[in-house]
Amino acid sequence: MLKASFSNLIYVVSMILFLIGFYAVAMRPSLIKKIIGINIMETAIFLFLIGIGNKKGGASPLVVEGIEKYVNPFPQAMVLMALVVGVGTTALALILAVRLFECENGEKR
Amino acid sequence: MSFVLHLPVLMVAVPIAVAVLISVLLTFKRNIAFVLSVLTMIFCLISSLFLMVKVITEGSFVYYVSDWPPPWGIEIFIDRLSVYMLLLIAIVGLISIIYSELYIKKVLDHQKIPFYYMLVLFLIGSIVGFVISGDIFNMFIFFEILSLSSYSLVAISGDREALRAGFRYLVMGIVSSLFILLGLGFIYSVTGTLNFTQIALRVKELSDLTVIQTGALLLIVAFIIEAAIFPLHVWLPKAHGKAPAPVSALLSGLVIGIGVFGMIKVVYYILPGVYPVSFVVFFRGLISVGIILGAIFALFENDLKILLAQSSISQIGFAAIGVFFFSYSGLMGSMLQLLNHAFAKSALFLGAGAVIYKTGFRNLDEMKGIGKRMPITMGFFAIGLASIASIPMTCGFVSKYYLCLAAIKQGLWGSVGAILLGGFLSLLYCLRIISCIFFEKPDSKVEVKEAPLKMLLPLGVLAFLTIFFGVFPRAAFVLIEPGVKEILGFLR
Repeated sequence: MLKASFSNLIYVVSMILFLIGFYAVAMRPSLIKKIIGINIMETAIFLFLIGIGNKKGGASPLVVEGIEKYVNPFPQAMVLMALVVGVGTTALALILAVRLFECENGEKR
Repeated sequence: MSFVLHLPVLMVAVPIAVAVLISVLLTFKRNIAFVLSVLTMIFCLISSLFLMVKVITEGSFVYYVSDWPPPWGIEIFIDRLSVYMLLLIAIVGLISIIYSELYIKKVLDHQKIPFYYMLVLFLIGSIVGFVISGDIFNMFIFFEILSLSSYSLVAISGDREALRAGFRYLVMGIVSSLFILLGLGFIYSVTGTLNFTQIALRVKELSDLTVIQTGALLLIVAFIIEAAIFPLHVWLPKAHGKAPAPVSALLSGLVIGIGVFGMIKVVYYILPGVYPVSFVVFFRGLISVGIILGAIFALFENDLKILLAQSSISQIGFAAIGVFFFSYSGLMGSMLQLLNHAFAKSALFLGAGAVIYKTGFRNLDEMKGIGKRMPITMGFFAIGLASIASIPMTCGFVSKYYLCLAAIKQGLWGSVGAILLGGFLSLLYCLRIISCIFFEKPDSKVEVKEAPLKMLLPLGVLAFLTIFFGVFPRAAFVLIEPGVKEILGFLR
């Protein structure tokens, strides 16, 4: 059991991170902490996707003479796209949180 | 007719391009924003009609964007059911945009109006993209655009309740899209591809299905959040109740229906027939509870728009339960229920919007006897209610008839009970609204006239379509019947 979790350390870590983020989103009342939790969940999934494409001893996916073993570039491309989307959602979430804060405290910009 | 092949891509590209154009160039010319969005939606309607003709005559087809084949490029997959969804999107989108001209001028600040049309066009474009995309990652991307524009549309009025509803929707929506990302990670790790047809081929070669079932479970949970099915529906009532009326019509009629369509895609296209029985029974149980609870909440609600949103939870449950019957009549009922919900619930939200536009009333108590003051508007509203309550001669009856038939055929008495009880409770809350609107004594102080023609006409079209597909359901069968048979063929 312990040995298996050491050899799959990247998946174990990403699942623990995912659960930490989920806890923050589900249980914490503070809006900012919810947003932080969402970001932790996102990062956990990115780690998981990168871990899927990883190979032990694989080089980065650029074709070079004499190297046979490359890591899979496809999950990395997916993570790049998902990063961009994640920035967008975080920005919108922060804007909504700020507007909500202004409304609750009765001040206009 | 080779230009028809390019229409699906254009149906995504044109609304999004026009949205960008409106946001960049036309922020000062409000009327042009409206005219441009109506033209865009007319284009979408015409192209989906062309696609319908093409698909009926020649069957489903695959299109590679810029001629790059699947492992590298983006694949677009068009079959009869996706064209059916495209038609629903184009019709409801066009009607909501025409309706919103007057309504939005009244409820929003005038500098926000171009951004409203921009967000609606983004929403339409991304829904179309979600329906036609041929791999899960594109579905994820379009799902994100869809959710971002719906959060903004819910919160667009900027008052406190709307912002709160928008934020709650945002948190749930982001969690749902992250579940999609995680699920597709699981699926990619064992199949090495994200393309529907290739996944279906690889799944047949696998001996151990645990990982792929986990992936499918995550995807289904994500779409359950988006479709607002029982334990994860908490965001829906406030979000749909507090948004402007045409936005509620779009979100309630189309976006949660898209959640159910996503579930159909996962269950039938991506991972056909690899589900353990306990899994399916569990989902059917959850959906049954949702059908009954949503109707009970609607029975005791006083705010008309929140009442309609609660009834959406119950109605979308009917569409979702058919997905898990794995039979011809179950899936037929599910597709017909999507049509019923798109037309009838949009008509109801637009009708409630017309009352708000004319009087500002939101609560049912204030609306006593309003049917005597605005008979035509409330007449169309009552047709929508009849369809929700599944009265014969409306399409709500046809869909629930098929669902009940499917459940009886398979001997699933729990589901039969849930469908019948849900239908009965829907009848109760619809009767409650009708008796309040038409048979109570009106408050003599308030003078109300009929809604303006620009609002009546969209409502009338929706009410007509509801009746039309109730009397002639065969008109919809042209697309659904072969489409459902085709995707049932994917099952093992």
